[in-house]
Amino acid sequence: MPPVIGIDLGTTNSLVAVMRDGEPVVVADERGRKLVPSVISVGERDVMLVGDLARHRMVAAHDRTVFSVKRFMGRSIEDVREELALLPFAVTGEESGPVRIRLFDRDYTPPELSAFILRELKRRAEAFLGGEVKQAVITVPAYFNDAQRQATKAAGFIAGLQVLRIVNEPTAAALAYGLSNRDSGVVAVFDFGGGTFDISILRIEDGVFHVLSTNGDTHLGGDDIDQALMRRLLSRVEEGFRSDPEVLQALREEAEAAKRRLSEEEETAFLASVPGKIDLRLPLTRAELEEIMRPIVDRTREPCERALADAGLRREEIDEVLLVGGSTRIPMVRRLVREVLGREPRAEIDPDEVVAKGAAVQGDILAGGTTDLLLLDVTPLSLGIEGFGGVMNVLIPRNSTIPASVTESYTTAVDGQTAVVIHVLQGEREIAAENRSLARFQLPVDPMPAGLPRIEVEFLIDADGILNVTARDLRTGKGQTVEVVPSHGLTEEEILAMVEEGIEHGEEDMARRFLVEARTELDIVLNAARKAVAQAREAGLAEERIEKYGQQIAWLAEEREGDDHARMRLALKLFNEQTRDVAAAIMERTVKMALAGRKLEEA
Amino acid sequence: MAAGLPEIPEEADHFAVLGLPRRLRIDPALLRERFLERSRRVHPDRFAGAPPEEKSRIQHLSARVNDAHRVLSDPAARAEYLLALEGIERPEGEAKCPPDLLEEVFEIREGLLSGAGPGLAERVRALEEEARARLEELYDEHDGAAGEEERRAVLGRLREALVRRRFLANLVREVEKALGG
Repeated sequence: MPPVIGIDLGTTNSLVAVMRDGEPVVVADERGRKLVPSVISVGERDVMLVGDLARHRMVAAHDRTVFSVKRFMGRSIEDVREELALLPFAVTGEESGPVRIRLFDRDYTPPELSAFILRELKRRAEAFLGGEVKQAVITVPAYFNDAQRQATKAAGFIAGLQVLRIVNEPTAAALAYGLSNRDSGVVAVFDFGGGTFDISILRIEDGVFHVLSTNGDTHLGGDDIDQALMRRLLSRVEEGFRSDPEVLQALREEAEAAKRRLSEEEETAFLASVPGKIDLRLPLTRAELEEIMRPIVDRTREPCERALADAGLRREEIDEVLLVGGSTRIPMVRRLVREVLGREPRAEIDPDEVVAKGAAVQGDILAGGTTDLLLLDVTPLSLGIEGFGGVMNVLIPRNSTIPASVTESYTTAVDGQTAVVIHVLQGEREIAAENRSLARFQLPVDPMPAGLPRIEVEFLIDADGILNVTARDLRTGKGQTVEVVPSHGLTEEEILAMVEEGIEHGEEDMARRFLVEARTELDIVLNAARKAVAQAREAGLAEERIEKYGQQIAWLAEEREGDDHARMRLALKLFNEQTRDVAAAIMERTVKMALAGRKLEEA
Repeated sequence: MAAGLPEIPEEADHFAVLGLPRRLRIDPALLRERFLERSRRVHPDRFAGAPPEEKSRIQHLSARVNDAHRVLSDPAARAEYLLALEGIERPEGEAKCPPDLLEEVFEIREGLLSGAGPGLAERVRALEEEARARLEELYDEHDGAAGEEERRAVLGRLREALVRRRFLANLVREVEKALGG
């Protein structure tokens, strides 16, 4: 079989991995960067920029850039209303149907935006493998519901990929570990990423990875910590700029960066400046950050306890704890894991890469390459239907191994009734309305006296965790497949239309793309360099050097107007080499000033 | 089941799917072993390259193995399932209060309303524990029955015991909720 690539489509970063000589390898770009920031930006000439280039445009081109799209997959506008205030892009939506995200001059659904990221990953894998890639395994948080899974699958289709399997992230991670460590035991996977949190408990035995239980929160991650820090720092911003998109973006970027630094250091300098708007320089300690993030980190506790209870295990019965996701680098998170799961966690495989690697292993299992491993995963949420009195009747309980199915019989209550309405729900509440409405559909019935028709409906949750419904009229033997369109999902027709459009994107002029990408890269550097002139002066650099620096910038700006992308990249490399001394001087001064900030405040 | 292309007869029940006798006591290790062995054979991951209609068939086969494992892993669900197989239907709707408990349950509910303390929860739990123990006895009686007639008689008693147990489990939840724990 042709290769099946493994994709970790993350909230903050995405990665693609492939199998090489029996081992999963994360694909890097020409500069060795493996993470593709999950950021999309409309560049010059309408070229869609994805990844690092787009991320660098988050402040300067905030009106043309979107990020954290995963948080909107399969969600309604009501689900996400709370966090819209801190976003620099517009998100709209109606009562039913998916949300729409404004990107520059048009609205996109979350799957369409995710497809841009998937196309970039597909391109990378193809360059690495030297051939076309058509099939993929894409990972999702274990706690993703049906609508979120369907949205992810749709994104794959739109990007021109046949999605052979949707795999749960923690399970994929266990698979990546399982390759080098094949003994039996109970493993807990603590997966705390940019936007989501999952805990899964597995029993591993003779190459079978059997998930016993899973729990989590699909709206809990490092993003929430960044936002909490941002909210705290907004008080330092002049009132008039508190909802300024450029200011918000600069704060968000530095909040994330400072959070990362504080995983390594006890103290750092929080530096965010937008000329004419803000110029924040203040010290921030790990203890202060921990105070801010404690309520967020604490929210991971309860899902862990529930997962243990559902697995029917005490924490002493866990043999290993694996850490997955960038947020598990935070010391406070590691302390919580030790306390709640009672084990020193393992993190030998880079927590950013482990999911993509596991996805590649699963891809290889599907391609028939790996035959001694098998994944038995579960559905995270109970599936049920609305019954009399608005209660939820559970058909398939949470943590059932998938595929799972159940068959129900229906009849009519009124003479001549021509349809039976079925309302499918997902969730753990007794009251139907308190659960997530998955879909509502009508089964057509031939008009007959009440109670005579007999319709058998099979609900099957497939190996992707997605519901399939088939109905059979027991009198006529007529069968039909019911298309289950989630309340906030896309119809098959809509997806097909997007696939068409996607093909056009795929066939775009590559020369134009390369040129725009190179120009964007030069713009990012030029932008920073122009700001740096004043800072270089403050740093006490000789006037001659500053003058020469100005000339170097002018030269690079001239090169930017050319139309040979290879030449531009070379010019950029030269510029960076020849101005390294200036960058070093500025950095030194910034750090000194920030640390001095503490003394200023204390005085 | 034949080796090679997996096949499970259409009419096979959960016990037959996992190759287990129709008993109410099942060794968990054996259940697990059968489940893993069948899973290895019928899991959709093994047939990712198959044509769509074949894939759909495999999803169903795999679901049947998983459904069988899910139901048979839980002793009460297993017993309910066996009763259904034997044509002894579960009464419709909410589990009703067994006649011999009417008075006691009335007292307990009264106690809840008048705010009587945590002693209630213990009383209800003790009742549930008793019902559970009774079920365990019936499982053994069923599997050890000397003849079909005796076995059918046990099934009748099992029907009642399951309803009783379900009623009491609901009552425990109700009381715990009312007492805020």
